[in-house]
Amino acid sequence: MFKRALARYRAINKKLPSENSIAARVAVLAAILTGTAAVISQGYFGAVTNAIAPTGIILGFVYSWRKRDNANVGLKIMLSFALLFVTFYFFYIMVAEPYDTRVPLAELFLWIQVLHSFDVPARRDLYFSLVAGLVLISMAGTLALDVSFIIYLALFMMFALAALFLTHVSELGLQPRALSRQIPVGPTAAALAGLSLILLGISAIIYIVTPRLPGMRVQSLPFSAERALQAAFRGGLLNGGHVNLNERLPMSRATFSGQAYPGFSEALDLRVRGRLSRDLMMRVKATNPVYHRAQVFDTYTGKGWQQGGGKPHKTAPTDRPPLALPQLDIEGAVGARETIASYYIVADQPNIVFAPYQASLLYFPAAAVWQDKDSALTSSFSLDSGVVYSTVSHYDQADPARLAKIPGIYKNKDVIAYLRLPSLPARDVRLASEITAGLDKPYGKLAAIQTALRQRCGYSLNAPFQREDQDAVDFFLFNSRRGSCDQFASAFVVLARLNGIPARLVTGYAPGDYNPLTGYYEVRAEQAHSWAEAYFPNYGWIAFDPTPGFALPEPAVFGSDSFIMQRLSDYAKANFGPQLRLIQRWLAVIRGTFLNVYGLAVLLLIGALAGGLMLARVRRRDRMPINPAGEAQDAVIAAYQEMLTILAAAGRPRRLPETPSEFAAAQTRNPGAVEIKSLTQLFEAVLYGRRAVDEEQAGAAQTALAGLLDALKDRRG
Amino acid sequence: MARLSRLINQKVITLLSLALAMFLIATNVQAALLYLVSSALAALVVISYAVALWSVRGLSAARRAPAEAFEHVPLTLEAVVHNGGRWPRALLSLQDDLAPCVKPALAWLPGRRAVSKWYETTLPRGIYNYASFTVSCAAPFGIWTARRTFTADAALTVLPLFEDIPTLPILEAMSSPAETLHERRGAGAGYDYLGIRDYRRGDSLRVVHWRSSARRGELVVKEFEEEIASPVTVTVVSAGVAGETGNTTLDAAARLAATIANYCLTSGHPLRLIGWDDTAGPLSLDRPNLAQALEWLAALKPAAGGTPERLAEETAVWVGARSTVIMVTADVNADWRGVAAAVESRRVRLLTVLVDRASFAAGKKPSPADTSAATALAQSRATVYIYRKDESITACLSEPWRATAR
Repeated sequence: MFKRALARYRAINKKLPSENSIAARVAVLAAILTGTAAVISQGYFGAVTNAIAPTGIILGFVYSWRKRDNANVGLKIMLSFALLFVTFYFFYIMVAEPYDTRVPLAELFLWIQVLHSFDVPARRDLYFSLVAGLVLISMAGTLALDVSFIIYLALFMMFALAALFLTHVSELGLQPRALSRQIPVGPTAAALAGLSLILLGISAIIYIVTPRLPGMRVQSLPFSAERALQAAFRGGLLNGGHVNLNERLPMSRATFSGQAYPGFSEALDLRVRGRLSRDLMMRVKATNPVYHRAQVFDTYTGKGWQQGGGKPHKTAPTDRPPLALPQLDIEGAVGARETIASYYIVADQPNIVFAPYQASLLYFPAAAVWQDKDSALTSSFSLDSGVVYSTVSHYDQADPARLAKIPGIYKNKDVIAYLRLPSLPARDVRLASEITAGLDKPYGKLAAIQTALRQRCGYSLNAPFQREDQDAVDFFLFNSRRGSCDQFASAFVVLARLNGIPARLVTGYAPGDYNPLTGYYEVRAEQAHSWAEAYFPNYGWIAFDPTPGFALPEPAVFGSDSFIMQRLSDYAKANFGPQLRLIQRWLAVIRGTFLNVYGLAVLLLIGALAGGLMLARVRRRDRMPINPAGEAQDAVIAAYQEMLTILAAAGRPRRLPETPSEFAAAQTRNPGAVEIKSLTQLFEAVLYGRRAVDEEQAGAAQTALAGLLDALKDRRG
Repeated sequence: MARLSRLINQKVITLLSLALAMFLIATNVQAALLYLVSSALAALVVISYAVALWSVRGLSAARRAPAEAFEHVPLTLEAVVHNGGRWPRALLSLQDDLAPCVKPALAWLPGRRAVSKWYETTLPRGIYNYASFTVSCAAPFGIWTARRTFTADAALTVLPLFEDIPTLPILEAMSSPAETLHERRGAGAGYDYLGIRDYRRGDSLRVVHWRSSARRGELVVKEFEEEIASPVTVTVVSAGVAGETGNTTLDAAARLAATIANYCLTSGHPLRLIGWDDTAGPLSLDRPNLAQALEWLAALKPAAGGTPERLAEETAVWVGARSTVIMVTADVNADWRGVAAAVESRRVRLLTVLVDRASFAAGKKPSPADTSAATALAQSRATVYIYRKDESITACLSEPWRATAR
């Protein structure tokens, strides 16, 4: 048993023949350096690693090439110790910071690659290097936040394919230099280009049909380096919009900043208008598309919304993430759908901790956060660009059929605050009654309100400004009848409260545009949003989004939506809208022109003609014999044989292993080379060509033969 | 399915495993970019499979080989591969079953063209009537290997090598005065005077012995003796074969037999070859020329039934008195006294060439031959030679083994 194991070990570790192809080694090195650059470019490593790793890999490859025929026992021992050291260092880091394994793992692979580069004597070692390069590229893929990774991937694939090709050439015993003489450049380049296109096409097809399954099962989620809590912080917003609902606002759009959504403040002023920019605010990797909650407002003032009811409290500090968040709205924890979301802040945000509803765990770069009674979270510092944190929440939107049966009896005294309203014009009260007339259950009433709002009012970011003394919701419902999500959500909450249903207004971000290539939701400033939540006994707060064009995100990623095609389409529409519209217009023109009975008939006719011509051509070619018999052909063959006899007599016999072409090529510097080449070409055309040789070509063979004789005589003379 | 399993190799498994791993990682950590890597790897496997399969379609191949060659002497084979398709093919590899170790590669095979490839190889002794010829392709990345096998008529006989020995003392006339192998068999066209006899019609007048004719009163002619070499029977034992392919004890026996046959034919000894085939039974070739003898030896295959005892019996059937039997054998596990008795019962002389099995055993260094067989034979008055691996045949046959030589 032991002997067999030992024999097996020896067989595996047997020194293999060295790989001598420099071209293959250079291609492998280029692929590995691309993988290294891809990892380094993600910006997680220090300057020392960034400088030493690529240099070390290059030096390692040069050293390995020079020592490829040696046993290198000493080197192997040193590399083994170095490998142990980097592995030990990896585990040390993992124990110290066990939260996001990707970066230390990427660094480990990087150093393993550096060490391995010093010991790649054989072809098999080069293959290992390629796999290591692929691992580096993959690590970069898990760290990358944008599509620039695709450039690295394309480069890596290019070099890796070149390396595979060259190692295969070397495996066959063909020398690349000799190969370049044998293989014509033009057809080879065309074949490789065609092959690359086919490869790209097949990759795209596989990519599109690959199912996207729910994932994110890992529990050590990413977050950035920990920051100290601000000692003076006692809750509240930093760098939020400065809103004072008691101020008289200048009624112009100049008061609106395209970068900052007014809803990320302690109050929401419904009198301001404007369009938000398309600037990227953050990237979110989430298991489900979710609304990213920011602020919750419970007090309507007639001009906007305010937060009421006490200061936020600090969560229990912890020295090891995650932070466990108290479930203040525990009634809402119906179901157990786990939603994991990682937030990568791109543009500076206020100190709001955006999170899905009912976040229970928070991997955050601070020992504590502040939580208000409506579960809105704030940090003691602003969320600047580069901050990363993750949340885990468990929440299911309740089944509408069940909600529809719940009566509007509220025993919980805490929800009374969500029924308060200022004095409203009588027409608002009448409208609320009219909308829900005949309905007795809260869910039915809320659904009716949502429908009525969508029918009654239109979505617009350019709604007219209201009069200073007019109620904002009343103005929206009866005067402007146009508004943004703030107006719709506010009107929904007000009408709900008028019907005796506790409701509140929530601001935050919509899920964002899913980038199917990176897998991140890209959240832009313009996707800041507001929606409503209504209270249901035993079910807690249920979200409603009355704004036209918006719908609460579906929690599931299964079904037809699980396939990337739909996501690609959405992404293309969001980012390449004008171009797509142009293509659609062209397609419409084409459809209009050809997609009718006559057009189809013409297309079919053209197709049939083209197909018939191609078929006839192929059949004619296949029927044509390779060696069509005939006097002209015989004459060419006879001339070639005579040429061989003459040359043999002149001391230049054709050796057995030489093909006619090789023999002709060998005569380049001898007299009569042109005639020999010409006659050889004719001879090969007769032997292998499908086209019959005519009398003229037979004459040319005779002429070439005569020319050869003359050339030989001249030499003798 | 079997075809697919033959195609799958370590590289394919590695690539598919990596693609699956990338898919799982992409799913697990929602790293959508890894779906791209996974797709690219899967596409690479698919396209490599398709290109490799396509590359060997529409090809035809043939082999050209000489009719005869000697074992272990470089031999030039020619492979002609014709691309009947329109598109060129690249990086084809030719695997010739005649020459299993040789894999010549074709870099480029243009469409509708034939390309020849010459390669040198050495082959072990034998007759190669049919041998397949495989064109394989793993282009362009060496991931999948598609193969296409063509049956090519080889009709190649690889003859055993022999040494042109100047003398084989044991067969020479004066090797032993008591047991000279050359005997005076009768009248002929020699120069030594034998006697007189009555004139027969057709006798030349030049040979009339006039004095005796006058004395007798009738024509009497002189008669001259003719020296006739004694027949030699070479018996090749094909049982108990050991050693590596191409250099087995039977190959060595064939070489020894060929060397002895060559000497016999050049020195005028009538020759007979005796062997054994498990299917056909006893084999015998009488009075061959050298080419026939070599072809006969080339065809000789290991046969469990061709033991020394059985071949001794067969030899006894064929040989006449006063001839010499040379038995070449690597099978030492025999009743040598019985063998000697069986052969010598025909009043023939037995020479035995023992091929030392120990020196042919794979992985073992040459060791002293098992001399028990030699001792038994020597005790039966047989002459014994011992041949060891890689030894010169000339040197081996120059001096018989003697028990004291140990």
